[in-house]
Amino acid sequence: MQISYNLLKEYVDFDFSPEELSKHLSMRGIVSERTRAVFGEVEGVFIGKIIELKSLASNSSLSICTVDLKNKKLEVVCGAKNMKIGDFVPIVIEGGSLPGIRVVEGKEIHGFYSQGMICSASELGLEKGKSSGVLILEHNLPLGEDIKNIGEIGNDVIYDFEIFSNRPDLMSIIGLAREISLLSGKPLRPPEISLKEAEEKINDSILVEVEAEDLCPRYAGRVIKGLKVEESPFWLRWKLLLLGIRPINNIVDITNFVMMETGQPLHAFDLNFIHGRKIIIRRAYPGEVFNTLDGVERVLITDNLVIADCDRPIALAGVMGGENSEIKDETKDVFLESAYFEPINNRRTNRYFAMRTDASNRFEKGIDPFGQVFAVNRAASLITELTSGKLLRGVIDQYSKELRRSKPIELYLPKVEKIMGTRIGKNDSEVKERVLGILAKLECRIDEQDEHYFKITPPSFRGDIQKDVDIIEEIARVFGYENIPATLFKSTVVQEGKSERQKVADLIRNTLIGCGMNQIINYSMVNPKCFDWLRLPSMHYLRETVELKNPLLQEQTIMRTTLIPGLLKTIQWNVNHSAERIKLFEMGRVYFPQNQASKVSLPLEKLMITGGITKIGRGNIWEKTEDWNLFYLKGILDALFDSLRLRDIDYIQGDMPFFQLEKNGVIKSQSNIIGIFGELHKDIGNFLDIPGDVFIFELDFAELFPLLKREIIFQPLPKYPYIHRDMAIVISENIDFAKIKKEILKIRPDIIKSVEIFDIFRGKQIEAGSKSIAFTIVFQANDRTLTDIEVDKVMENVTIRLNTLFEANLRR
Amino acid sequence: MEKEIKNLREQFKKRLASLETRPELQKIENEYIGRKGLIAQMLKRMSLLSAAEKPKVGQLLNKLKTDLQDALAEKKKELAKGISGEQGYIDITLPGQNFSRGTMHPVELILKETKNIFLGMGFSIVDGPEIELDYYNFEALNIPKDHPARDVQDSFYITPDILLRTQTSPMQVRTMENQSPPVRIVSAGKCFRRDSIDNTHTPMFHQIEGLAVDVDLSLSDLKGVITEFCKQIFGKDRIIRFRPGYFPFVEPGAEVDVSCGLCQGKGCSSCGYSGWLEIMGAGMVHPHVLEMVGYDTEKYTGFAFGMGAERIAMLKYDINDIRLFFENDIRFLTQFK
Ligand SMILES: [Zn+2]
Repeated sequence: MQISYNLLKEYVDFDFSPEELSKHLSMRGIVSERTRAVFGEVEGVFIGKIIELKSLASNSSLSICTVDLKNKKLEVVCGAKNMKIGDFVPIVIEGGSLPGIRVVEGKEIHGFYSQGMICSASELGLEKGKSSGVLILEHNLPLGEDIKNIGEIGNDVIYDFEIFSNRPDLMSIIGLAREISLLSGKPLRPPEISLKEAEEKINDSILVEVEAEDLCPRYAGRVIKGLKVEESPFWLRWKLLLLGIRPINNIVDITNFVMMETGQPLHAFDLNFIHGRKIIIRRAYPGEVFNTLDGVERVLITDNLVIADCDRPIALAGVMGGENSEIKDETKDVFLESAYFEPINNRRTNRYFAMRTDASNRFEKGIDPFGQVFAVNRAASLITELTSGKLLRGVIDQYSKELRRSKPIELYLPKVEKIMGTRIGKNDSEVKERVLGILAKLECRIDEQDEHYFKITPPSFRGDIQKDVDIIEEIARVFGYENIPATLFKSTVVQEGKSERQKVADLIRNTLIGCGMNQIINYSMVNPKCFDWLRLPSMHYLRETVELKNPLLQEQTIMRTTLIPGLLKTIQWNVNHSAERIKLFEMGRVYFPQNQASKVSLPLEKLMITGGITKIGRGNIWEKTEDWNLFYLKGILDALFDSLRLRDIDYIQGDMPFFQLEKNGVIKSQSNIIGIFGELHKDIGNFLDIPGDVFIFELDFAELFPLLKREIIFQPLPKYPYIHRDMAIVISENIDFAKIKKEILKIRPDIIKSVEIFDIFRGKQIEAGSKSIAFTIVFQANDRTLTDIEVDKVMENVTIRLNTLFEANLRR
Repeated sequence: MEKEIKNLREQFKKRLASLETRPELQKIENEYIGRKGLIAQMLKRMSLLSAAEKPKVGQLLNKLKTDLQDALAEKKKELAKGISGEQGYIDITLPGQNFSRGTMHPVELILKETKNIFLGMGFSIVDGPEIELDYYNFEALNIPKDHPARDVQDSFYITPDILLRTQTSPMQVRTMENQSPPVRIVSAGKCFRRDSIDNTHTPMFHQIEGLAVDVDLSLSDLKGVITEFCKQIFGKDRIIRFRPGYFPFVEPGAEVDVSCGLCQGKGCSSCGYSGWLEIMGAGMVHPHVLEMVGYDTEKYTGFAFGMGAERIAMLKYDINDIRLFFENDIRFLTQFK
């Protein structure tokens, strides 16, 4: 809501300076998003009078204006058409400045040297877009004076207040003035209305029939005949500019101004285009076609409320008027409409046509259901004041029986203190007095009261006040939030703190960070195309996605089912920005549809932990020897599982299509699949232009979490010494170490503590299709010191067992 | 040609003896025994020799090649020693081996700090679905269909009844449905709004939401808790300001500002010349919300607050573009150690 300081002052005579006003209002919840001096960016603009006007010889669309600045005369070229000899205009001289033009210079235009420029409202920063002509000022202004020194005009300050959507009453001059009156204690000065009615009765000119009373609970109107449509006087145009509204003509300007003044949208129809002299407020017929003022043809549905005459719609109720009945320069007789349209339906219509006007925005937020007659009378009085039109006798005011005043509210004073957490007076009677004072300022009616209790009816323009807490907010606002003390909880509450799941998630995150990985966060919405470049076949389960009905971007239309594409895209981004050593992980949710039959069944959300590494370039003296391969990645996983005390992990060959064949695996624990890992398929690396090998894992938190043991079980330190024995065997290439280890451990689980591989060798000495594996077996008993003889015996058994099972031979 | 071979050998020896770095070594290697190297060139020229000469020169060239290879290998080993010199000298200015710790995402960092502060004040952390029922996201929060407040939270819908949550507030309702007072919870996580991307908007962001319900909670408790939080997260020298605000699920409602750290409240471009930065919305839980979960509104009151993690991070670290959080550039991420 744009408004100016001087304009507000006409409605309430407060003492605040412009800065103080802004500060006070912001502490009451009305924040000015932008505050500026009306001519803050204007320099060197003076009041001039056009004394000569001729068209430029070389270009007849331009004029040469001789402008009298009292002590000098300037000749300027002007392209506008709306000025005439005798008009007072703002003129910027050479060396002056305007918003967007730092220094105005005289210049040659079509062979004529222009010594300045006559300004339009938009050039002065008072109108958005291009103005239709120069700004014509009032005739009694002092010639040659700097525009900034013109009293009420030059010293004004324009605010742009942000108004909460529950306070449509503040979207008006009177509403804001009322609020200022509330906090300054100065009385509100609403405009005085004087109506001079003619003999002719309104009912002889127009009849109104409200068919859809549910959507139009109130409809008021006035008729003015014999008026003249012309430019508004300066004072009205100026006020509209201060309110951020473009002046059009006197009738439209008055309806707009009264809307800004009272908050009540008005619409003016050309009476002579209302067929049958009758207005019918009805639901549209399905498929009915109507051209709104903006020149768009609208096909209506029955939800749309229209203002119609006997033949056709003439306005889309509360949204926009029609071309067929709009005010034109020739208009003589007008019907002024001032209605209350039901907010929800109005909002639906706005949304249906994706159009929002200042009027519709007010209707959908809810205007004062009792403000129609006042507003239409105000407009009528201004029209008769400014034009020669005659106001017909009588006002139309049709309203539904359903339209009632606000419901009474019971307010208990102790509750005021309970909610605010502080007393607003020294004693009960002072508290009551203060509350009474605030209620009076709010224009609440006190229906009943005793020592600690009020029954209140809020004013009709405050639709937001429905419960006692709404009144308490008002009291707190006037009391000042800044005056409420800050206290900490009076009682303690035992809560769970962090859940086990949250603690484990924290641990996983910390471990991966400890492994040198950087955490990333990607969008949950992804591009379905990613499944193609991930090489997923058409029926793959990861393609079962939750889809957005109304995506914003083409590349974000579905919810992700894996974090891998996002991770790869991030690796790509970083490669493109010259990163050479990339270790990233994300912990975030993936989403799968479930139970689509049920309308209200939510998708399945799973927390995934996904990491990836790639090394491009050489690195420093130490890093250059680091080989970031599949086992480097597995090392990170081992560290992670170790920190989670998850010991029994199996890795088996996997077949995810985005991995290199045979260079990937499935991670299992206690027969649950907890994740996958592997080397990214070369085709994907090529597609993303990632030059190095990429290694990736993805873990499923929901599978992993239940396997974790909560407690640490302490093992007493061994009392007896270890014996180490190394062994090297030649064994077929296709027997994995995990298998060998498992078999060895089985031989004497009581004394074989571990089997650790330390070398793997293939070469000339080993026959093709075999490999040599060297490992250390650690022996230890819990009840005695083992002897070499005993261990040698076991080693023999190991040799035999490996030979029978795998045809493995000792390597000599 | 025999003479030529001899010269080449001498020349190679000299050059090898004088070189000190691996790139130089690499260069010589290519020059002599590379695919188009000097030896290869000589081998080509052998076809010009007589049948009698060929075997002998061939043998010499092969010998030369293996000798050169051996010498190069030897030199390579020598150069590799480099790190510790002959007399055991160690250059202690060499970098340490790389164990650098990774980094937590700055948004996660803010979530973590925030959670810790509220844990310290007796709040519990709860998690909820990111894809929500319209009921929890809006209706149970006093935002029925066709409520104007839905405009500022333009939503991504999955079905007419299911959407990506636009705020973490649904967890207030879910928690209260399952727990009777007292309640003290904080919920944090991803939220989604159909906002076009610019330097202060992304369609996804993170919110932190708190709720406390008990028999004796008031605006002054809300002020106390929020003031404490702000002091801990922004530092003790920042001033906190409460002013009226509007959110449909609280009444009275409040907006909380913190004094601008760049200009100490004097006003600068980053605070829009107001001296204040908006950081959160808060208020006393609206009785409608409490009624919907079956709480006795005569007995219990509560307060709630919510803030954007990205916004807090932007203010705390002076980051001017929200998009940086989701670009995940390593040069950005590694600053948040
Ligand atoms: Zn500042």
